[in-house]
Amino acid sequence: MDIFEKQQRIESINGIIKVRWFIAVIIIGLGFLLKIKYFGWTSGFSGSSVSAYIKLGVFGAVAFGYNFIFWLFVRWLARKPIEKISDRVLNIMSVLQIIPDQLMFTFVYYNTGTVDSMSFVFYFISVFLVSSLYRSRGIILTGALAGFLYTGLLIIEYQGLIPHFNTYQGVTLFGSDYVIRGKIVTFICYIGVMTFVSAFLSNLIRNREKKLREKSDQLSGQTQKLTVQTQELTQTKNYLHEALTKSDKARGELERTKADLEKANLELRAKLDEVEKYGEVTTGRELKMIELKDKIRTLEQRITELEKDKN
Amino acid sequence: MDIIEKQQRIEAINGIIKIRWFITIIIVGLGFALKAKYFGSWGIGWGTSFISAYLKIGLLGTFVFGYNFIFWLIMRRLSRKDLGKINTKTLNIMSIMQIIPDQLIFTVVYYFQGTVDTMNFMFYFLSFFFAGSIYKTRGIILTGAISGFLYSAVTIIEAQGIIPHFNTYQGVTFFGSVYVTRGRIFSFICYIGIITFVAAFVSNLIKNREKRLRQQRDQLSGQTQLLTVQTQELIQTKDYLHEALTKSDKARGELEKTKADLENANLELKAKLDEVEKYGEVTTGRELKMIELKEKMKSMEERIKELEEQINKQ
Repeated sequence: MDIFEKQQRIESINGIIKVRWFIAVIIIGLGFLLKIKYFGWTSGFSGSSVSAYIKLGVFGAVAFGYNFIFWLFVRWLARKPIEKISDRVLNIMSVLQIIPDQLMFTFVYYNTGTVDSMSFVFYFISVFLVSSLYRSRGIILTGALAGFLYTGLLIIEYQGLIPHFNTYQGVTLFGSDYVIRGKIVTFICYIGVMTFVSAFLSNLIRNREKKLREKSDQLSGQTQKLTVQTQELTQTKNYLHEALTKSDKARGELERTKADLEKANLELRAKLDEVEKYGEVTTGRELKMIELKDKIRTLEQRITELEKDKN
Repeated sequence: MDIIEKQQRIEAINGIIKIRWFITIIIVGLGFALKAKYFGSWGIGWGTSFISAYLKIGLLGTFVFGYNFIFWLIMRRLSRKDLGKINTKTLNIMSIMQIIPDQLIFTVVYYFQGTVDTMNFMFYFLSFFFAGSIYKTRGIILTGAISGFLYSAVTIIEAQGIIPHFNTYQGVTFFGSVYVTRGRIFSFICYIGIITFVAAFVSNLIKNREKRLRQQRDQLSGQTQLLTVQTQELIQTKDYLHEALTKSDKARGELEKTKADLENANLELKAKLDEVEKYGEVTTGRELKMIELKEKMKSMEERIKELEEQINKQ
């Protein structure tokens, strides 16, 4: 059982316990009322009215008693974390929601007059309740158990192994072959119908739930995948953002360096231009110097001539 | 009703129709079997002669098969339609039709099989299973009320002698005892109370479970949608950032190249400048020499003048 199934099991058992309080009250109330003179309910829960009331009371106390124990136990279970509740405990608790009730129903059916009584209908309550706990197999087993208990009791009583109590004053169906045969065949057919209906509805509902759960699981998986994807994307985004910031910063710096370099370039060019212009000036002077040297040579010649003349 | 409720309603009704085939076969089969001699010819239920009884039971079975067939046809036609177009009224009528005709048939069967002698008052409880899969508490309680009314009415009318009684079993009968009538009606109403309560409990348990599962699914669906949108946005942002980064990288690469070019150019310029400046220094030396030369020329001119004067004096 997975956690979800366990949760459903516990929820169902809790519900059945609640329903049982109510059913026990109704059945005992009905017994008390039918025992009054107006209904002529003679020897059902045999003996005088007082002893019958005491028997009914004891019977009710047993039902309340075991239901109280179930209630305490489930309350104790519900306090535990769900993973720690073992499947076996839940399976035992589930079976206990069916078998004690069926034994009690058999007991009531016997004491209220078997073939005379309508109370065979109680077995169907079990079949109804079991559809909230089990699938087809559990429901079919519940039906089989009900059929066995009902048939067993009728046959034992008919064979005279246990006495019969009349339900109504003056009239009884007990003792007729036809009644026994008819009742058993009919009951088994009814239990068959009820089992079928119960299993059908239980499966209908469980399939619906299964579909919903599958859809939920699928969505859950998708959500998880998307969450991981979103996280990864957020990381990538942050990484890219950081890289972009760094790149932008580096570009800014480069931009500045470029501007500096361009400025330096311009300055250098200006200086070079200047220097080259100066160079041109000096080239002019070079020519002048050659001229000067020529002149000096002429002057030297003149001086030499003049000195010759003087001498 | 929203679409899910409609879907569930249709599913439940389809299920009930399927079950009805099976139940009808069982009940008709049981009727045929019980009419056999082994079960005491079943008193005078469904009349005294075998043939007329079998015919009556067969007719009733055919009638049930008939209306179930009509339901099946309607549901088949409905399920071909678009769910949004199926109106709530049609579904509500179809839901009621799953309860009331059955209960009337159960009443007929109950009467013909011998009322207080028979066990088949429990057929009414089958309706609760059906009602439990279709309705919530209110519908189930109403189903209980109808059952209680039909059962009590037939039992009382028969006890008053307005309609004849058929014995279920040969030789024995409960009919005629006032205690039986009282006890049966009272017990039946109590049982109906119990079954109503149990059916309502099971129905609510299941409906609440489904509601929770549906809520969970809707919540997850919303979350998934939100995450999908978020993921798409993130992918867009990521793509945008990636593009921006590529552009930025490219621009940086270009800048890097320009920078390298500029650095080269600057180095070349510097080298040239150095050269030029060295040349400049050489020329500066010449300048000085020129001044020297000029001075020399001056002194030479002075000497020439001097010499010329001296010559002139001579």
